[in-house]
Amino acid sequence: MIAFDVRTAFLILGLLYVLLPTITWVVLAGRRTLQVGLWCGGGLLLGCAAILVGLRDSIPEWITIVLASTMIRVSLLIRIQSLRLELDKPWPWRWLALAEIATLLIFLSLQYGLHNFVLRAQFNSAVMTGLLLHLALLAWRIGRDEQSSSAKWIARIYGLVVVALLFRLYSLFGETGNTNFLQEGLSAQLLTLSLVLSAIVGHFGYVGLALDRALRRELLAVAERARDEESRRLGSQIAQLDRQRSLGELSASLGHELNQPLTAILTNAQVAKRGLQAGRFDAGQLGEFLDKIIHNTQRASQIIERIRGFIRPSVTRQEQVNLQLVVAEVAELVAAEAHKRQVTLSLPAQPEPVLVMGDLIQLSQIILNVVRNALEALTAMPRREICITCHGEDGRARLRICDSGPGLTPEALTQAGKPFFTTKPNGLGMGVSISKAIAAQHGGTLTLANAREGGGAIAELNLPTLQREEPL
Amino acid sequence: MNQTPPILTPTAASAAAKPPGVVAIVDDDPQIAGALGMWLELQGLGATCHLSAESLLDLLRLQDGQLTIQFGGAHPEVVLGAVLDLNLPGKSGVELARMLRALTPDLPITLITALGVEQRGGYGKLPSGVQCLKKPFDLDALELALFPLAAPYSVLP
Repeated sequence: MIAFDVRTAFLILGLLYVLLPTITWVVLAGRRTLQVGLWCGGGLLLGCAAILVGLRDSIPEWITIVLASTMIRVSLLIRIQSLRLELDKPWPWRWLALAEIATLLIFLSLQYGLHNFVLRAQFNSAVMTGLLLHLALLAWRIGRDEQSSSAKWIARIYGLVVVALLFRLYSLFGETGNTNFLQEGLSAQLLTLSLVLSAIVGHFGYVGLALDRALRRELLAVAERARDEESRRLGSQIAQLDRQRSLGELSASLGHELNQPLTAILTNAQVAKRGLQAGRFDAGQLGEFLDKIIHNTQRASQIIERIRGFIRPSVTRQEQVNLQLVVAEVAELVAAEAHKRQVTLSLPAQPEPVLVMGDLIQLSQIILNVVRNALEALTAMPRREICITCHGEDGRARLRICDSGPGLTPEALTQAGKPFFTTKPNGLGMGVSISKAIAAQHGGTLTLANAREGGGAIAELNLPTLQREEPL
Repeated sequence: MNQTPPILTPTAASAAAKPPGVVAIVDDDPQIAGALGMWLELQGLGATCHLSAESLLDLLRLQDGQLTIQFGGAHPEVVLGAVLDLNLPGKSGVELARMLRALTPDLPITLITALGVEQRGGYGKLPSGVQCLKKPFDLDALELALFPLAAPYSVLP
């Protein structure tokens, strides 16, 4: 072992421990966390302490012995806390402070009470050994848990310091032990060398570790965003499937509805053809037949457009929507089904449009789901009525769908809206749940309740209204 | 259209200019009821169009075993047949067909519906001799179903 001046080495060590944490702090700009701050702050404190130790004999003894050793212990505690925070297992700060005060009191009583400098040096070395060992083990645990070779290198280098400290402790027990660290021979040189290495490896390793962790955090954030995106996409696909299922179940009555204008077209065309062949119709009469054919063709095409509009794979739109028009559209869509079930659908006219911001199709999906449920609830009822009212007040649009059915059971009242809860034998239990989700996306709510008297269910869709710009 | 001389030769009512009677049409879609009315008038028959079973039943009378219909103070017209929609508000087409059949066992009746065969279950059994045509239907098919043996008018050449 080449002998070198421990005092000079300690001053260099101090400078390294001041410089490297500062560089680490600068390098990790933008990725700084509390842990990074503690690690760098702890290093800086250790650097200052090392410089004080190196200045022994030039400055008062209590500074180099009492203050410097306290600073070293505190710096090690801070670094331990930094790694414990990384592991999500921080020690309470109060305990740390109490432990340090207790150690300091023992230290002071050994130094100034018993004047036993050997015991004081042994005690101090033992405490430092314990702290450094703990630091090395924490770093190793992080290295193992996160597969980080940087953390493992930090663990190895602190392990080396622990070995050097043990050697120093061993020499303090021997005859040759000298409590003045700077005049100590081989053990002090080994310790100083290991500390210098720890300054270099500890900080470069820490930069690597912090960058690893920052990268992992960013990857996790990206994965999280991707999951959000995926669930939104899935959500809109489920909503679309629900619309298709709704239409599938309405298809029989929609087919019926579509056949009506087709029948009128075919009959008119055949009558016109027969009359034309027989020379019975003049141009004016033929024109009337053609007008009827045109009118019924438009009727058929409107029905098809309504269906097509309802199942388009929709990218959620944000547009100004008049809820009353949405209600009218849905009423048209279910008119045939209501007719088949002999249900009276009443929409009391409202003079004022009720404007909300949102997606026309998704909003009509909510209304369709509720109205279809009401239609089914009315199956066995003597009086079959559904009443849809819609008005705006105090910045909220309130759309109520009341039916004359038996109302919801207490179980249905609490469970409705939970995915897969259904009261229908072949229901999926998705309709109300999807409708509630759509309402929430529009900043509103969908609530189900029973009318106080006479049974029927009341569904209320509550949405924020769009403030209408007054024409100048 | 009663004023225009019929180009068809009515078989049942000899060569009289006046139609031999009317065919009752009940369909809650006025477009369809209207188109069927035009067809009957073209064929030289009168038509009486109704949007519900009840509105037809109100005007029907049974005279000497013949079903007649009377509008206001006019002469009662003989009902020659009935084309009924299956799905009506109030009484269904099947119920109406059963009532008519009970009144006059040989009245030609045809049901029409836009419903598929699998959706007609709830309406009960059709009276004997009554067919149900799926909308949209061909007029030839409707003629054949309503008057399979002897049409009260001659078909177009």
